Amino acid sequence: MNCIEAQALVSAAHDGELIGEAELAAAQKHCAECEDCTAFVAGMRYLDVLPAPSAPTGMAERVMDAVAPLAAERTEERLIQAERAEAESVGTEAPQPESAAEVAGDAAPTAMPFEYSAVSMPAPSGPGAGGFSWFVGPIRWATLGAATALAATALVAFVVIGLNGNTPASRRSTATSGVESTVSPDFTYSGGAAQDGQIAGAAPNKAPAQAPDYVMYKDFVYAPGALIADASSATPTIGTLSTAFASGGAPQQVTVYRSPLSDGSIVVQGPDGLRLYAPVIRMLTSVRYQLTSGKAVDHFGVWPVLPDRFPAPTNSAGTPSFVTAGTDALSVPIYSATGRPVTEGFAVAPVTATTDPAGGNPNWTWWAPAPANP
Amino acid sequence: MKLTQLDDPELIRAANEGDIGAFEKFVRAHTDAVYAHAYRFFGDVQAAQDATQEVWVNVYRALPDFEGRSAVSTWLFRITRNVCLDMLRAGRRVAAPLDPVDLRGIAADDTAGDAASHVDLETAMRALSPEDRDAFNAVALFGLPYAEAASAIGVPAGTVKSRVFRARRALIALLSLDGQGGGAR
Repeated sequence: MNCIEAQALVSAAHDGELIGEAELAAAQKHCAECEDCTAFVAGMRYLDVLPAPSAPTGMAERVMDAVAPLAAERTEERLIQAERAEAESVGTEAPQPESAAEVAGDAAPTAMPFEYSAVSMPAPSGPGAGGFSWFVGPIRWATLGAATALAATALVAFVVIGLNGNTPASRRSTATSGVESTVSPDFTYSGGAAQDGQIAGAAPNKAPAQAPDYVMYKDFVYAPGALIADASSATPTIGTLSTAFASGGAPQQVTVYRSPLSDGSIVVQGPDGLRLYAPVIRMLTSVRYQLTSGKAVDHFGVWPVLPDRFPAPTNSAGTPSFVTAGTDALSVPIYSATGRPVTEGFAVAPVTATTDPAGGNPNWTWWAPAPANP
Repeated sequence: MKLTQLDDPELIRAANEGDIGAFEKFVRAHTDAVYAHAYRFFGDVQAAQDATQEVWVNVYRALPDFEGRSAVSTWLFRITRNVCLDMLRAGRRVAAPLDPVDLRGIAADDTAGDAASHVDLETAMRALSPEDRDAFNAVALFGLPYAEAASAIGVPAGTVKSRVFRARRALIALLSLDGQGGGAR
């Protein structure tokens, strides 16, 4: 056993991993006799007692101040639900708000209730899921009177503008579910609903006329994220890709850098500087699958297509290339290649919702296991 | 510093049922871990505070979704990590620069006290790759087992093991705790 092996075993055991008794004993014996490894063990223990950065004084109070409006909203929601249940149990009309101000909810952040209805995530489940039906209630109440309708319309307009503006859908989805971000950047989640029942519970929708600003690197598709303000956060060059970006000119080879993030993204030198490009991802059994394309996506607006090895299906069942293979984490139906396991990749039928990672692509798409390091 | 999981599911259940005091207790128990991760991610106090606030707002909103299928610490780490990534993707903040130049002189410094070591630890953290730092934080700050960290980060458990080990070796070397610079005590 050499030093690296011994240190790795001791490190893993230190973190609570199960190590074979004999193997661990050998590692410990090595570390006791080797000066370098003895120092490593001492250093490892010393790291444990070094303090990590502590939140500044008042941080918890600041958090609770930020949460207070949400808590008030939740309390109000429970009261109304209780009143409604009581009214229904005695056969009377459910309680209704009386004013536009009440519809808008003075004490509550207005955008939050509509976040659920704007993204194509599964409806919240669990003990508090009942709140969702109340959240969409204001739209229905808006029919009660002109003033109420006006207020609700203004509210909806505000929220729609907000959703298409500064609030990334990826953030909304993670905010509500707490699961790893499964979506591509903002514009692919520009709102709207599903078509052909591709997204459970969504209404029909047209495919957008043009694809998002995709780039393609090693057959995988990426969508633009933030500009990297600090060039030093981009690490070494990992290759090049071909794109004309938004211009109508001929595609050029542009440099691709390793991303400072560990999410499979890349950094591309574009006309406006270094920009992060996030992998277009969908999740299946906690595994990340990334959108691929069988033809070059060498300028913005090009829709990815199936790899050449798959003849385009002739029907909604996916035959002859594919067979149904269940649904992904967003309840979108997926199709495995005929005779092949879904773990090798899967297809998604055309025209998913514009809020789907496929972004309403009018073509069948193929999703392959995402590379951890592009 | 690691998360204590004692009573956390109970606190979450109570908070979800409207007990704001339970939620505050949960916040106070774990805000340091959330803040530390955000600080190491952004390398900036203000960004770390903003991220910490956003994490807890998101946690509150997600309370009804917590079904206990994963440990509380895993759930919290996942939300914390996603908030930081989302803030970065949205262009609201930039990540801590990977700047090995900042490390010059650390090994030669007299780390005569925990305060000095603390500063050095955070400076040394910036020399780690984001991937290694991510894995190290998951294990060292949130106390996640490798398998849980792997699930949250989206890589195999063996990769987490390698990253944590690599981070540990790098930190020990950078802080001269390996007997080469006399920093270990």
